[in-house]
Amino acid sequence: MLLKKELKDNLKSFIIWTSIIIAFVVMMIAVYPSFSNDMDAINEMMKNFPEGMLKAFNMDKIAFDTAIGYFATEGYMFVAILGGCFASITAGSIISKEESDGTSEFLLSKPIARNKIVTSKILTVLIYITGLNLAISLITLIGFNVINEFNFTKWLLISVGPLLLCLTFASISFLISCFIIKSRKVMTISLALVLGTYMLNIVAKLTDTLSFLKYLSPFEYVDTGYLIVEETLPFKYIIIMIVIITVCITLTYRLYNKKDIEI
Amino acid sequence: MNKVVEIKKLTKYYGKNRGIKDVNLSVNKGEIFGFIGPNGAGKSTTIRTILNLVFKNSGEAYIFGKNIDDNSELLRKDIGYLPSEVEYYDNMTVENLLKYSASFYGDIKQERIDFLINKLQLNRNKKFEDLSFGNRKKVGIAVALLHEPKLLILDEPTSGLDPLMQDTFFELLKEENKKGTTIFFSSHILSEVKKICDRVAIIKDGTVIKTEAIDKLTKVDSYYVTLKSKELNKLILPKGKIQIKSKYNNTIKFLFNGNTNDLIKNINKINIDEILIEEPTIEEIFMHYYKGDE
Repeated sequence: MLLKKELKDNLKSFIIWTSIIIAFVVMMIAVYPSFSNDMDAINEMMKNFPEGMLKAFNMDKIAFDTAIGYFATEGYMFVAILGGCFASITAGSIISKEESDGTSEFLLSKPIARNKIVTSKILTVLIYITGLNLAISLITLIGFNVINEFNFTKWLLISVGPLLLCLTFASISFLISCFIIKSRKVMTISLALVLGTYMLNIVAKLTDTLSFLKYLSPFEYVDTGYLIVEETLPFKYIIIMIVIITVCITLTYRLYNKKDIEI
Repeated sequence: MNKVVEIKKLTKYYGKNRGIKDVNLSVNKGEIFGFIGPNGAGKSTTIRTILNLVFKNSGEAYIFGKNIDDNSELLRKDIGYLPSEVEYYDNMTVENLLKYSASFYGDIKQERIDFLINKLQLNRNKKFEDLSFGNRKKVGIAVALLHEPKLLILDEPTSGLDPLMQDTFFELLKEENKKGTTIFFSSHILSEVKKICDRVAIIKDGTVIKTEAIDKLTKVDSYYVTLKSKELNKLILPKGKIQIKSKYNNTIKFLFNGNTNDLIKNINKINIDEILIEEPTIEEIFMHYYKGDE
């Protein structure tokens, strides 16, 4: 019943976010054929782009002349950022909303363990994040097949990458929402987390002396530059993400169990 | 299991701010127990602590003889709770809210929901966000009573209810009480406590300063006498404890504790225009405790 209510409460925002991202992906793929016809001109133009810009968008590593290569630089970035925002905001607000609306006093006075409440909320976010990423993958699957440039491994990698990214952001936001009760504040922080770490990743790519910063950005963990070129997931980053998710979720359970309701 | 609620030296601080300190009290099975104190005395903190909505710093609390630390989730099955500020889900209708609440308890029949909606004159299709303060309180009462709990914990239940609805509410409480429900009831409106409670505890500055049967607490030997007469200077007051409250023009008001017959005889010796003899109000009795240094 609790899970049902959570799913219902968050359905609208799921549909809106998914529709926007899907519309974007469809648009990206749809313009590719006309784009590829002018490939010579585009390659010529890209030679004149500043090196930093090419680096920032992985255009230095990935060739533009395949549909997946094209999507991996342009579309992937947007999918990752927007998906990350959806995951982070949904996870950040689902617990804190009960606090800031004052409904936690109702919920926590019911005969239900706090662990079960957290589980329902995490499950809701997990279902919607998976739903969003499945929908995107389905669209790219169809899209690449239509333009006849399907490569299963690459497709799988650019599908799994954003999913892992979303899960990482969601788990961090869950933890943040245990400390901050005003749900609007949590939303701002969740959003800043995604956009901030994205910027961090770009800064790390552009400035050699600051390249260590890349370890702080989940965007680096699922960077298409690596995924597409190496055709595999970077092992060390997978471990880092699993550690982040495990630690954040464990702490969320611990903290929520000992938390005073806000008065 | 005679004691439904038992609280021993319960202490809760919010950071450095005092919530409650060494609160002791017990509520017996089947009684209506009043929990009285001014705003900020620690009534809500005590209630929230025994429900594990906030966590104690020290002390112990038992509900139905079971430690709240170990059995919180199970215990809440038999507790109905009305918070002082009712905040539910804005976009849910009254009926859906009650159904949602019911879903946590398992087997609750639609008739029970209908009964409470009718009794409390609620509009079942109205969204919670569109309800007035009083109507929100009524929904809160329905939520608390819904699963016919063995223990009702009500935090300032009557604020916001009109007098007619207050009567309906008290009627409902008495019905529940007859079925064996124990009621733990916080308030700062003393007359309503006198109307319904068997025993009361008075809390002040985070500590319970007195627990007493309501009859005993309100039973007084003193009463107020107000006299209007042009011959006040001739009046000789009898022996006893006399506390003059006011004296102006031809009117005197004093608190009298002594032999009533002597007083009447003496008053009879002068020419009286008006006389009024009254009990101290319950507010005045409690004010004595609130202000006291005990």
